[in-house]
Amino acid sequence: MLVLTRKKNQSIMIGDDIEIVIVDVKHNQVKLGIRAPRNVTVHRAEVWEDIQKENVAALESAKVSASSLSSLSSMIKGIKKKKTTTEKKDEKK
Amino acid sequence: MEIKTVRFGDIEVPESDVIVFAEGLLGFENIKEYILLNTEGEEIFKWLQAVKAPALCFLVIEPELFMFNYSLEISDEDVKNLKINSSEEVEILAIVTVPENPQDMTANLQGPIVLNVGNNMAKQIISGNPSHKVKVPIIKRLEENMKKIEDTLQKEENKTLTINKKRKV
Repeated sequence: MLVLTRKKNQSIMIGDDIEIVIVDVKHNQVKLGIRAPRNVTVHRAEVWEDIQKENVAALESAKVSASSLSSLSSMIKGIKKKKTTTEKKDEKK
Repeated sequence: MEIKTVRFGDIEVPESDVIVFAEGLLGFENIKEYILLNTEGEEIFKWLQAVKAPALCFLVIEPELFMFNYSLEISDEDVKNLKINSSEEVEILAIVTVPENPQDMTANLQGPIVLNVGNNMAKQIISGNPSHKVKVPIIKRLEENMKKIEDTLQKEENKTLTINKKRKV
């Protein structure tokens, strides 16, 4: 890994069009500014990790039984049905 | 074509139904081909089953089914990569996690799946909306939304009543 030392307001360039500016340094926190073309996605590394972890958890939980899923399905449909009835009542008026 | 699955046994699916995730799912980057299955009695949900990995199967739900004001911003880059021509081609799915108490099930809105139903190209993207969390409680959110709708209807009803009253005067 390339390690560079920078001071506040200094920046580094990645390629021709990505600039990372050190906006502020306080205690153990660094505020970064990122200037990049719109097509470059920038995310905190934890977001990737969170989604990866959730995918794994979802896979584990996909062992849920068909009967409990089907009751969840009807439960959701039940909640939604209440809405339709309220709307119909409204139309009649 | 026949695919082997742990949940559904061996099933026959048309080859044209295969959905291709060029980048796989996060954490499962090597598995790129999936199939979307509906099962009887579970209509609210669908299953995203890997074509070549029998045990890889995710429960998914359309966020619109429990979030009535749901919208997702898709980057220009993803629109280009998935060859999306119009919003009608887009189906959005959220992966569901079912905890010990199934009623506490959550949907991952931070990492939604964008599917182009026109060409079956898909990608798990990262939503830039800070309210799209990784664990959104499905039933709780649905009940909150229902209440909001009922309140709005009630308010409108009251408004109409007031207007009618004024007219009478």
